[in-house]
Amino acid sequence: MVTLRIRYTKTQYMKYLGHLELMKLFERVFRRHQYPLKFSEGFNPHPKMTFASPLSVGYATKGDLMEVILTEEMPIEKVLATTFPEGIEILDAKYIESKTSLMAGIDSSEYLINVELQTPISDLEGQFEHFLSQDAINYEKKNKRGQMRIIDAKAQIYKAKIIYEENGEFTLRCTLKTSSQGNLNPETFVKAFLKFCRQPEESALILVERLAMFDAAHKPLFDLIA
Amino acid sequence: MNLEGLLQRVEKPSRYIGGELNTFNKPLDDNTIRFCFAFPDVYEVGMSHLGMQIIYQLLNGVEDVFCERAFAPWHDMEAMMRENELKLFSLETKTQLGDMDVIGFTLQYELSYTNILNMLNLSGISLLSKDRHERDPLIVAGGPCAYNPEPLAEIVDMFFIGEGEELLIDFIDVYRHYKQRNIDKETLLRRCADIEGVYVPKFYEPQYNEDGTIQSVKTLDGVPEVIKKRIVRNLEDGFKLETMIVPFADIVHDRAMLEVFRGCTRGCRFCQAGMLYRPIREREQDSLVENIDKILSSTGFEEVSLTSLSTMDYSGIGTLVKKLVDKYEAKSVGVSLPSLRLDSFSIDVLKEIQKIKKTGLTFAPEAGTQRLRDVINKGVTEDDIESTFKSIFELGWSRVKLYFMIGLPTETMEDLDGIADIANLGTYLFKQYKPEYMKKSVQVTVSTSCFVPKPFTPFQWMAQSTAENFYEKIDHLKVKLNNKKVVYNYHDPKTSVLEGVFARGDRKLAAVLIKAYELGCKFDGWQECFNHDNWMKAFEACGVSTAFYTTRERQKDEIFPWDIISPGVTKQYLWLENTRAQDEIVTGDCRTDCKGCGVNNIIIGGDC
Repeated sequence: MVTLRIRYTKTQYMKYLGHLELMKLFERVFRRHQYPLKFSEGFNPHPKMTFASPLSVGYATKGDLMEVILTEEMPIEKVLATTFPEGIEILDAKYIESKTSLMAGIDSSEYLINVELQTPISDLEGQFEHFLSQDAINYEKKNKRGQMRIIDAKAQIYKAKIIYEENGEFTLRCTLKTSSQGNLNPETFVKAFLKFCRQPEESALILVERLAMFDAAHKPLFDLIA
Repeated sequence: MNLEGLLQRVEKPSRYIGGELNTFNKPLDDNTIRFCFAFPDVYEVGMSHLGMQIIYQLLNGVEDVFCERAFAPWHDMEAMMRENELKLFSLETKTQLGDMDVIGFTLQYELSYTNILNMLNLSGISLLSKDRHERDPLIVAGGPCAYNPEPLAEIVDMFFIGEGEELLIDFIDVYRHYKQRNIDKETLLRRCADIEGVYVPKFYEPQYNEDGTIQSVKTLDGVPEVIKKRIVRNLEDGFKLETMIVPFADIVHDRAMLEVFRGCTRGCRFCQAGMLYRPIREREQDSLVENIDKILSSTGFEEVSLTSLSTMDYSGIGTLVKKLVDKYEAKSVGVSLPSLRLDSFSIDVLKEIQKIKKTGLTFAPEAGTQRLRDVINKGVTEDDIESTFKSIFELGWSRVKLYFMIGLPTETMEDLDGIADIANLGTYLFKQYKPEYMKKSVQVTVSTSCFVPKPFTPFQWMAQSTAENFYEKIDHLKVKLNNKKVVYNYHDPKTSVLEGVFARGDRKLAAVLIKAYELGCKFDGWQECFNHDNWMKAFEACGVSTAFYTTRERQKDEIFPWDIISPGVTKQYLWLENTRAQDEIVTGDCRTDCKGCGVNNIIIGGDC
């Protein structure tokens, strides 16, 4: 048995696939390309696949990671030649030895967030700086029992910068915590900022794209297995 | 807001994006015939439909035709589309339906008709055929409900009756002249009316008696008086479905499908499909195995379903299933059958299938007593039921689903008690026959649907029960099915009554349909969306009585709205079967000897 780690993109319309839909698609594409899949035991066998930090529906990615267990190695050039519906592409693939789980290594993700507003925010840069320099950047989140609780995002924001602004549209580049010990959703982050600016968050169009994932030492995750 | 904005906000956006494996995106030029296959329900329902898969691959196989798909948007999407003035679009190229040449609706269920109106309206297309112009898309429809096209006759421009594989190609050949502007729309319609299996309602004018029944149908311009259904004579010749679109969303039937035969020889008297899809035509076993291999290797599906009516009747079903299981067990590709017969042979096949994946078990005795099963000609005996229970429990199943109908002709309370008796027999036999290791307790699920008399069945003359009557029967069953190991589900009678109206409806219903739609009715087949009060208001506003269509028993010689269509089975044969039903006489399987239904003479011109 071998573990194949894959770095893939999910862009264009494919970003609208939910996580379960994405898993089903990968399974079917793998079957279609005759990957030697390893199946689980039991009455409903399914292939063994893990996706690192699955994205919300509507988010694109320039390089997410997944792993699949195969009964034997399949040549990497064949893996790279695997065809998906337009919008999904395998960028890179490697067989890995490491026994540590894919999820455990992840600490943060870098995103591009594009925001379209009905009315522009005046002095956007100033406001953003102001927003980030608060003592606490609080937002509300439902816990597992469905109760709302206040969370401080301050420690979950590693980097954040406005890189483009024009006519009520702006783009943020930011690195946010993405781990099992805490996770800041980019949309939540933007909405907290809009609330701070007293902007209606409902009418804002927020498009998120993940650029990369990092470990606790801020090294890109895929490079680690090189 | 644009489409991107809508997709960011809507529930399950993958319903609207297209681009699945094995979809098409063809280059367009002036001669490309743009056909939109429209399914009047949500993506998850529409994508489960084998007919859509067939037509999609068939039409896209024609060089100058580009077939795309559209489904009914769910409420949230529709509201946002209307708010943002976005028209209904195709999944493949996001083209507005108003820019298509032809929009083809499939009529699988009477309660999807308001969704057709809604999809037209969302496309900015006039609802009535007479209000549409030369360059509006042509609205066509097919599918089982097209066998009584009359409720939609003023809305749809033409209907395709029967199997589409050859018929659609004939239609395209005529349409091509119109596309190239060699003929006008009137000429197109008239020429299509001469294609066997095409019904163009504008050339047919029903005349009514004072009591609202049909006196005669006037045909105009020399069109055929009766439209005979089309079939594919030999399923091995011509088009075969060798790949399928692989859907994204978690659709209802998310698997490869392979038709092993068409038609059915059982002759159950309530079953419309059994009459409509005659004669029986089986595919060859080797060809099926090869076909499945092609579908699986081009789709990656992890399950294949062998489909047809009464699939266990396929001549080589045992060896076919064995071959498939042997071939796909290692790849963990499951094999499934849509329904099982209540007999020992089915159990043997089941043993094979469960080697790969253990499936739920569903059987359909349909009626609770032998007497009533004889009336409806469902060839299942008490012994069959008992021995099936014994076998499945011995094999380690502890859950079983049983389907019945209520409101069948001649039904009494005793027949309903019979349903409870069968369920109780199941729980009792479980205790006797379960394996020693079995710790689980038994669960028998009884589901009842409300009988709807359908056109072209021996029961087409019969009265349907009233909603009140159905409720009484359901209440009776609720009391009788008091066994803790038995779960009872039932279908809502109100929707079945409405289904009954449209199933045997006529042209007068178009006004009611439009009125109901204007009052907000849509997705009527969805329990949570069905608005009975609005429907009743619509009937009242149009001065149309539901009882005329449902609870009225018809005279032997009444002319039915659907008599302009012929599925090959004659009215005389259906009447004969009707009288045999009243006399509780069973009619055997017509594989062994011909019962003279007429399909051989009328459709084939020779033996079945």
